[in-house]
Amino acid sequence: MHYAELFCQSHFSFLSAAASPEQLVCCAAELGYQALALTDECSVAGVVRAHRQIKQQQLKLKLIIGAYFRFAADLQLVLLCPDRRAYAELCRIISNSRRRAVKGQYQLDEWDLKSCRDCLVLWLPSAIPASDQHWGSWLKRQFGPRLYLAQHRLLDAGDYAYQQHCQQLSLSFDLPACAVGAVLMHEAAQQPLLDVMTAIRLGQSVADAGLALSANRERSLRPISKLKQLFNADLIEQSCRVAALCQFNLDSLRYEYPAELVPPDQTAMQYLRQLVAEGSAFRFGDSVPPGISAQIEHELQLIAELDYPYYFLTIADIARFAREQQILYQGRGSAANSVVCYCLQITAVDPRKISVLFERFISRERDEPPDIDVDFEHERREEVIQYIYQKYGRQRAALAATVICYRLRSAVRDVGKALGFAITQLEYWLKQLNRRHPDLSWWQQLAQHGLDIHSRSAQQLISLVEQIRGKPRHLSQHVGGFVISAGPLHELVPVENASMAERTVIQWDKDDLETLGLMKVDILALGMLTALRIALTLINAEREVPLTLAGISQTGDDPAVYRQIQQADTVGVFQIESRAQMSMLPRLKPACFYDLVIEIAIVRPGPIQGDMVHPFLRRRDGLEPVSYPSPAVEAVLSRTMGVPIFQEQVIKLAMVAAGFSGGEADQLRRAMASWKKNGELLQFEAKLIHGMQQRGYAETYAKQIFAQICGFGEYGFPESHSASFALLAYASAWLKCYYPLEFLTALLNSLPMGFYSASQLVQDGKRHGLQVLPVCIQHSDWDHKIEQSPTGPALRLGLRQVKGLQQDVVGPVLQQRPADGFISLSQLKQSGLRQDQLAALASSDALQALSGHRFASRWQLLDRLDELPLFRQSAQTTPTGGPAVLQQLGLDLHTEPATTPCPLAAPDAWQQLGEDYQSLGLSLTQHPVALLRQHQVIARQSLQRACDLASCRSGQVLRVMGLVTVRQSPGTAGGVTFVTLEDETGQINLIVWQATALAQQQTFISSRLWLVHGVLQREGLVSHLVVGKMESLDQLLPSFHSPSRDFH
Amino acid sequence: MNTLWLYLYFPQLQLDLQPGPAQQEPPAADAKAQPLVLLHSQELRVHQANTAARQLGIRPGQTLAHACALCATLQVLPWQPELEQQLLDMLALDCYQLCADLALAPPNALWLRLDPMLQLYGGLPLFLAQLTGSLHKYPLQFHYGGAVTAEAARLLCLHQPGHIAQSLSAQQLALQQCPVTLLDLAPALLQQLQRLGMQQLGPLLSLPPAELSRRFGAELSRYLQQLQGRLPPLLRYYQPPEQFSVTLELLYQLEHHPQLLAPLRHLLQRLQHYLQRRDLLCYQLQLELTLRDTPALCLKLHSPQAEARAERWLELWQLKLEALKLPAPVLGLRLSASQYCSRDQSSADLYAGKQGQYSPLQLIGLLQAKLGAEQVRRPIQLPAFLPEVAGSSIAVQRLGNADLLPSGLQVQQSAPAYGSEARADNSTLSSSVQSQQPTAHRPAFLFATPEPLQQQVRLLPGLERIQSQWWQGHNEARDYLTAQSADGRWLWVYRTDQQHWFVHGVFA
Repeated sequence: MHYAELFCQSHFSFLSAAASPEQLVCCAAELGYQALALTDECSVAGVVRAHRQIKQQQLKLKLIIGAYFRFAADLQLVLLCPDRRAYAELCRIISNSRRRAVKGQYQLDEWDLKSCRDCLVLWLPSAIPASDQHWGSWLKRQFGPRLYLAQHRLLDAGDYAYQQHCQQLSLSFDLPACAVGAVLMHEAAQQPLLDVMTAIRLGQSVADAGLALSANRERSLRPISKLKQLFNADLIEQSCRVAALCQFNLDSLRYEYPAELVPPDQTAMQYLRQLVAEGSAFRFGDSVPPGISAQIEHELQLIAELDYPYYFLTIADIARFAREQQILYQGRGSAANSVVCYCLQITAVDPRKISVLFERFISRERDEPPDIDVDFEHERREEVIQYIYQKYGRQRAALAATVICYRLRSAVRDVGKALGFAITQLEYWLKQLNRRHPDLSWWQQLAQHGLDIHSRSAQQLISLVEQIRGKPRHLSQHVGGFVISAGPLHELVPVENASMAERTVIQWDKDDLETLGLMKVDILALGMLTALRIALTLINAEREVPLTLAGISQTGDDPAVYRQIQQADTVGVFQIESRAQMSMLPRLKPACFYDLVIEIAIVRPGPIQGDMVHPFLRRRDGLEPVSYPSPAVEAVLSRTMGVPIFQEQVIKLAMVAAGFSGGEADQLRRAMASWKKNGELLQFEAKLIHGMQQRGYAETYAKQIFAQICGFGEYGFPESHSASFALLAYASAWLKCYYPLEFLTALLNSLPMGFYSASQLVQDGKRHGLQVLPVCIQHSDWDHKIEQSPTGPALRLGLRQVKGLQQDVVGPVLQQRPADGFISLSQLKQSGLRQDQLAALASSDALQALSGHRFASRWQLLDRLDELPLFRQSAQTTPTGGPAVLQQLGLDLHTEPATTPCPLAAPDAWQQLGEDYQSLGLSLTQHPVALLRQHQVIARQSLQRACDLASCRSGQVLRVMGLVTVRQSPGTAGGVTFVTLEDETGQINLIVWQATALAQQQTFISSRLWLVHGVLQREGLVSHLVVGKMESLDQLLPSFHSPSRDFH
Repeated sequence: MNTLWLYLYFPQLQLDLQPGPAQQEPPAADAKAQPLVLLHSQELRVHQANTAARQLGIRPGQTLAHACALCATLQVLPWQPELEQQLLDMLALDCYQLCADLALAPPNALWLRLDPMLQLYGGLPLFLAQLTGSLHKYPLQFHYGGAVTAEAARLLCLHQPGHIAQSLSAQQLALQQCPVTLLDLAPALLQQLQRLGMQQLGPLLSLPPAELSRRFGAELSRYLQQLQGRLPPLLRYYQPPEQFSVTLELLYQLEHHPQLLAPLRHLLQRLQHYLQRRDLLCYQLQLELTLRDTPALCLKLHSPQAEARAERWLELWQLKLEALKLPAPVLGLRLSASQYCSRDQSSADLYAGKQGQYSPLQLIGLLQAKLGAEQVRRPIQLPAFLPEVAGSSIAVQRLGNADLLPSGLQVQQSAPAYGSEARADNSTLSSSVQSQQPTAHRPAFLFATPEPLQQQVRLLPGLERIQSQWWQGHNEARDYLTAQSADGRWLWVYRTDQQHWFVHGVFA
């Protein structure tokens, strides 16, 4: 007996069905079904996963693509795709229905159904006699022989009558009836999960959801023997016949690259060769080094062989557009650091500086497209995106989707609510979940906070949270992954609305695209590129020969720049500015480009969790011999002295040292990318460790490698990425070294980005001797700029730093500003600023020149006398000069209306500071800590400052004071919290052990100003203070805002 | 003589007086008690924190995450503004005994106007002693402050608790240092004042009023005038709820309940008089019996039909007292009434033919008095698949009176089995089907417990499988069928997974 299931929904019918596509196809194959139609509601989001599972597991099951729709209140249909045309039609119908409605919903139109000419249509009668009579004849008229009546047996209260009703309809409309399961679960045991999902969807608890839940467990994949009892043989036979009509397979989707990039008389490969030849002349001059030209030829052959010329042409075209618009960009990703990409100017990394092996990026065995991400200036990425839309049209370009899934917290919250737990209780528990307890599971942690894990409701909570984790909640847009096609995209995959206006998203994510071999281009945003472009513009204004990114890269390894890097003087420098990087720099002492590549990759969870940092440092310092367990390993690790650092090294190790096949290594790579989400990685553990042991490697080494693989999860860092980042790191360090003022100005103009706040950047600049001038309505522009002051060039803070101002309002005001500045506050008031914007200016002290201190400015602004109708009217009628009537009254617009002098006292130093931080986030006057040192309680103590630490010896007991700026407890640090204190001379790095933190919890968590007693720990130039005792000095701080970035 | 206002502030009203675990330990032991906070449910911020929590650094206004980081074993309860309102009403009623000029300052403070009362009490210290004495019977934290104007009293209470400024000049002086943040003004206005450098009230009051009102409008100047007593305060004066409550001290001891009826009749007649004068009826009476050497006994009696007549109430009390066994001799009685309604609100059902001497509601009242309130129930239909959950009952007392009348109509209209609720979500396939066959086979008589099927029956086609309510621990699947027994009855039977057969109901 055969059976084909024609109506089956997966969890991609969000919160309406419980099973994953993978579970459904596996289970259906196990039950011996011939075919399974995956028919999610107005969606094909799950089909690629089902398709991949069937191929990977070599299941004997035919996958049918279809979708389920509701139309009006009383019509439900399933559309199935017999062939490619029907598939294109289905995608079009889904796209149209989705595009009509807001994100996450759809609206089927009568026209969609009328225009449906190729799909097979299954009608699910509603059991309302009148509607079924109406729709029966309507559908029959529309679809004729393509219409089938789908009869399900849910064994619910109405089941018996429904069967009679369907038979009746089948007879009266002469419709072939087929059996369907209306499946929502792959196995009966999923009923609680399905009910919980229903309750979440309805925003109720299961106890309140009542009859909306499932009455029984019949909506699962049922054994054929049971189906045989439920349906008569004709119905089942008819299902098989319908399935036999469906011959469409996703493998037949052939991606067609957009053709317009290639001139009509050339092939794509010819054109690519031509562009590469032009590019190599540009990059290398007339004499291309022989090694390079051989490499180019080799890469081109591989590209031709695998048929990827269009891919490279597409990206080269986008890069060309960015160059023309002077948008700074940088390519990275698996194929980006090839010589071809260097020639096509997709990347500026000189391939001679790193050892590139093209096969590492594109491989013959792995039949998948190359991957190039391109970073653009974050403020101008939109221009690139609009270029793509405009060039290929919205019909042919869309963003890839990202599936947003349940994580632990969202799962506990939603399932908890559905099971009737109180919301405050759940929120409390969620706050208690501590990721720093690796050995306790989440429910054990909750048990410590009052969850009785033996109670029924707790058991249900635990079980259901575990079941729902990783289940999709909704589709969202990928950060920048574009799909571009030759024909309309909606014939390939449905397109729906994203939450952002004017953005469209396809229903598949990047893994799905990869599975089907569809091309994706990542258009990403990077703040540092903005900063670099602004700095270069500022510098080039003064230069004859413009400076470029590639130009900086080509100057060679500049010792002065590396000296600065080795001293960890890297505030603001791309990637190597974090505290962890800064404490690594003096130890690793990068002295050339490749050192930077390693530096960037090594301070990452992968190498740290794999315990690879210290072996590498020891080998580099010559304290430990460089050795290799085998020649095969040497080939993989020779670049990094035998220590695996990059992601691809680890994958390659799995192949040469643990015997993974190419396909397995590829699965490993994918599992790494998503292991936080679904934990798939763990299945490789035994195989890797066992495989390595079998080949003679020590177990500890194997375990280290696996720990490293886990560390790479989500933060995987291949060498090519690191190389691209290293280029930007070098360029920014070079600018900081030679053009510090321009660099600081550019950084401030590109915020928010990077690791440091404006305040920290400005303080660093001041310590380097740069002059910074305050915001001033008479001198400042919107952006920060460089100004010639009597004491030389200085950075003038721009109005963008002022909280509460918008560029579109300030711009026109600045245009009206007279050359010598505004004469009076009234004149400024007439320039069109609203009261709150004037107040914002007063807060920033930008009105000092017009109206004195802040309080006086505000006092004047609050006085609305000059806004009385008489004044307003006169200002409108005569924009310049005072009207006669006012002059008669003895008033002149250019002078202040006669008011009594301001009765308010000027702000004191603390008030100034508080206002500065509140309005600007930084202060150019004294640092609060410097101010506090004058306090009698503090003045008596002997305290060290940040700048004094360099002259203290290791082991010395010290006392310091500072504002807490960062509290970090990285997962890799085993309970240690890294705290950064700031005083007027710089940063002090603290290490707080878990026990210390717990013992002095109140200060540790709540306090903003610490007085710390600790022991200095020094290793070369790196010094940390290990905290013994911390005292809170908050009581000495008058109320003022200093932002701290905290872990909670 | 000046006016004199006292502001009484209860900083953690709910925390102190909350019934339940929080109150089990007296406040003295609070320090050793478990850290406890009340959480503002919307903002997820700490609203009130007990002493133990404060000692750990937990403060009102902190986020829940912050508080939890400070104390891992923190107990968290929701802050309930309605509960605080009730507690404040209760405290107001207490204070009303001492001082009649009383105004509520929700959510957690009271204003008392003292100057008319001082003579009566013989001076401020004596009054304060009375007041604190009466408040000390609760485990309650409170602060007070006094001044010539109501608003100044509030500020002093918050700024210098315990301070009482009896003259305008003393008040002026005491307010100099008061932080501007305490003023009862819109947050935006307060911020404006602070951002002019005004941290304390002194400098603010010294500014020219005309300049101020030009900049800040009428709100600020009206407030400052009220503060300084140039405008009268706008307060909501407290009116105690009107209650009937009469106490009768017996000159002799009663040992058997029938003896109670005579004094009770007397009290009920006074109630009748009280109600008739006000043209009221009442629903609920409370009888407190003072007993010898034993805590007082409190009895409640509810009548679904509002009633004023003493005879009717006595009838009900008679039934109620029948079941009572006095634990000790009775020394006194106190009768109080609650839940009033006006006479015309409770007009009788015009169309309900008088079937006996009692109206249906009176009958229910009699039954409740006789059997206990929980025993008089009516059937209801819940939206659930399992028949025994779907068909349930609820005590009549828990239904509002409106749900009880007119009873005849309601029974006929009782909800169909699946329809109305199922329609709420027509997104699933099955429910849209069910909405068409709402009552598909539900018998009129459902057994409280299914009985094993012990006779030959003929099964009808049409099977319904029910497996639901897993969250209550139900796991079994039942297949329901309609069957005809040999004697011709239509039975609703089911078969379990283990092939056991049961009869669950009978079709009428």
